[in-house]
Amino acid sequence: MNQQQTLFSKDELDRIDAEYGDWEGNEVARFLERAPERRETFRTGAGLDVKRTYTPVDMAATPWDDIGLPGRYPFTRGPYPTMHRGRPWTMRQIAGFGMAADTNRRFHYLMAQGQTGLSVDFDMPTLMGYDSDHPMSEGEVGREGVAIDTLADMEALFDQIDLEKISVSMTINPSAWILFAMYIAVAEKNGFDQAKLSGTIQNDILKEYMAQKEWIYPVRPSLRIVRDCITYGAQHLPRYNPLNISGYHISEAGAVATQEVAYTMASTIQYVQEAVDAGVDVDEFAPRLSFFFVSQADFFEEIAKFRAARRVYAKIMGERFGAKKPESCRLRFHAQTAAATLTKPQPKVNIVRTAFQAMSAVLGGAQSLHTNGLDEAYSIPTEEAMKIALRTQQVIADETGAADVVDGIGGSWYVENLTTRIEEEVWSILDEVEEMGGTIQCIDDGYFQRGIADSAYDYAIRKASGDRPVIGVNCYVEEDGDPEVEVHPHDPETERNQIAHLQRVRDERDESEVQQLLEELRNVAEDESQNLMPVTIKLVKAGASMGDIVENLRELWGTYRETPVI
Amino acid sequence: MTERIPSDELARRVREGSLRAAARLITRVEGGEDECRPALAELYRHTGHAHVVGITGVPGCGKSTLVSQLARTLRADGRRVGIVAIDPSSPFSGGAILGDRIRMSDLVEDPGVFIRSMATRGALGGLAKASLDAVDILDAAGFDIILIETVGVGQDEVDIVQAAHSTVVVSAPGLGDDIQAIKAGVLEIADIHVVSKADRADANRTVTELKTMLTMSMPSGPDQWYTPVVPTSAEKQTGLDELRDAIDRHRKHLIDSGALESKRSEIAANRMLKIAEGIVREDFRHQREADLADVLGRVSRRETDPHAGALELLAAVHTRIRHESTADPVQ
Repeated sequence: MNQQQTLFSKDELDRIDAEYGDWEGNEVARFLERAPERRETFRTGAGLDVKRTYTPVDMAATPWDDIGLPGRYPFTRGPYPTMHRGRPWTMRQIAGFGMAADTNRRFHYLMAQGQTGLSVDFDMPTLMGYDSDHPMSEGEVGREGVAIDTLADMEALFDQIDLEKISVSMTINPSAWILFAMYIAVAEKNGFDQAKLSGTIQNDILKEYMAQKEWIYPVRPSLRIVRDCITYGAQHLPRYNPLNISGYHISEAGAVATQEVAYTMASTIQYVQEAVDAGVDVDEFAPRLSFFFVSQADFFEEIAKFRAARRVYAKIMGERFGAKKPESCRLRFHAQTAAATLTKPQPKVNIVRTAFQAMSAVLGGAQSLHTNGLDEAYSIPTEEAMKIALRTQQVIADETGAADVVDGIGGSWYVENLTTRIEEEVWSILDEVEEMGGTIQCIDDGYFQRGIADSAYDYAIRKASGDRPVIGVNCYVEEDGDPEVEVHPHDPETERNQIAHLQRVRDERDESEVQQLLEELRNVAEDESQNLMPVTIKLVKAGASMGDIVENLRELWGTYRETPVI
Repeated sequence: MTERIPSDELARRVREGSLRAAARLITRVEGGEDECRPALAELYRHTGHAHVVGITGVPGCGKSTLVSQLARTLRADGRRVGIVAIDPSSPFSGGAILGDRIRMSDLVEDPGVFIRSMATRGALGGLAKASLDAVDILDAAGFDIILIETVGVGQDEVDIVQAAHSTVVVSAPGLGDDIQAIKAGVLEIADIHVVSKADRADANRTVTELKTMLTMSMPSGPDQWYTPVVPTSAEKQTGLDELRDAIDRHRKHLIDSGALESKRSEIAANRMLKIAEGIVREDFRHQREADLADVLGRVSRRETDPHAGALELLAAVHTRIRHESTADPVQ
């Protein structure tokens, strides 16, 4: 690769630069005399300087080889050569509430509306590995997601759904391997071919310690679980993504775009290293790694962010880990519009915000997309809110023409310049992480947490002071209070019914088999060289609940505790 | 033995900037000597120039080091700095290990710096009163900025901190939970947070917690003060310029928003009420034998109730104080 290769000759750049200077001295100066600009300095969401306008001079530092063509290293312009011209992104609205049958009905509704992928939200007890009858679960069962205790729930969740045809994404982390096991067991029971299963478990435990704070075990054993999912997936489920490295929650916790990409890549490096250290060839599993980013409010910066993330990832995999296959270097991602930007006042405005954010994701080359419901500042979305959100994606796909060209915004002097600046910032953060002893050390030292808190604080000041306008909140405020919004109802009977259901499974299972398998699980867990997946699959088939499995290993591994401060 | 100089003469010299006179007057204030009261009253009319900064934090948080480094930073700008130390563990108060004193020796010799530690016990009329009188004396002596260093625990100390124009709360990483819990009450009064020992990795968590707390309770609307978190490192000599700038920005904010005037009047009101309370308390102490025993006897026998008893005591105090203040030629 020739790093010196630029798109314009030196003479041409000099001429453009001279004209830029002349323009500033004449046209711009005359305008500024009459009317100053709205602010002294303009900055992106991540705080990068925004010049008045951009010219080829601003992308002189970016060689053609860093931009290139879609589907070709470093994949800046997209992971595939035809992108949305071949098939639009997967429209994947997340859903989950109540008992499995309730969510199953929502799935069938969404598919009838033209949704092309499924995505499951779980309730807090499931996310944290508690059974529905655990004291910690009280009041939370089925509230913010669907409740899953045993394989029977998982079967009800995917009732009448062809798992060979539709991909299913599951937002689940510390307890992910158990749901992965249940998913495999359901597919097997329904006669689907494991090799044809496509879908994703989030399983990104490192970002939990950084941002989302939903963990069970200490870092080391948690990473081992992730490793086991990756290696098991690589051997048995060639189309499944056993890890979805997520910047979304890092952003929602307050990080800016550059941090979102950098922290996600810091996690990536750690995960890949774990699997490589376990003796798996990088090209064997890397093609199945997938990503999840937010699509935030800063329109151009977000597009540049997605492009920069692909370029950085390609270089990490190619240069650092020596991946040979192109598929190992191409970053595929799911995007979700930014829940943190939704407002309670004037909730219909959220439809507009979401539409622009969705457009960024599409122009940035997303493989799948969730658009938020207008009512999500209030509660989990209603059917109607989800329909409008889905229609928003359909408008972009079918009416705007944005899906008809690959990387239509590529070559914008501004966006190319931003892409390169974001990439540079990401490398500088990654260098810092390296210098401080790597990703795990930085988690222990609270480095990522600090970076997120710094950005969240800065943003809160900008918002509170009105420097960052939020329509309906700090400007164009309507005095007559928040409007009536129809919110998704929570059924108080859910908890009782779910617990009764769990009890029935416990009564009907072969208890001695479960106990014997739990003992086997502990033995496997104690031996680092073994994989947790096979015995976990046996356990869920025997009727073991998530809580049975989680608690069993908690006795062995203990619980992660963040160092308390202040 | 030198002849005793009258306090009003000392006050005159204080206004000319004599550090020696200021030191002697503060000693008299600490001793609760009535003779210096007219002099203080005169000096008070010449205060209001200095910016008063309270710096508080638990023992071991690196407060004294911060104060001395901040003083040097301010000196580099040519500002005159007064330091009133109330922390019993402060090297200024004499509880120091030798190394601390040596580190500060350059300040001790600098005529643009005045350091005074207040006795934490036995200040007659209250520690807060004496300390704030000392601040007035330094203000009248022409100091640009006065740093009050306290551990911020106990009523007296909280009163002192609240009499500052800008309050700096110092937190350090790695102190135990029990120590940190003591501090919980003072976190809210901070205009500026400092995280000392920021060169340590675990300082990240301290900064994170503080910023998260501030983010949650961010005030909105125009003319708000957004409490900054300033990491400092004595070892790496970082953060001091940022702290100075934050203090200056806070002062500018107080002036621009008009908050300085209301803050001053609030401080004056608090001081007056505290002094009044002190007078009443002292009076009770002196009259305990007579009035108190009589009223107490009747309350014990259920002839009167505690509320009525208290009013009766106050009425007696009221008469006496009125009598004294007309007889006393103060001012």
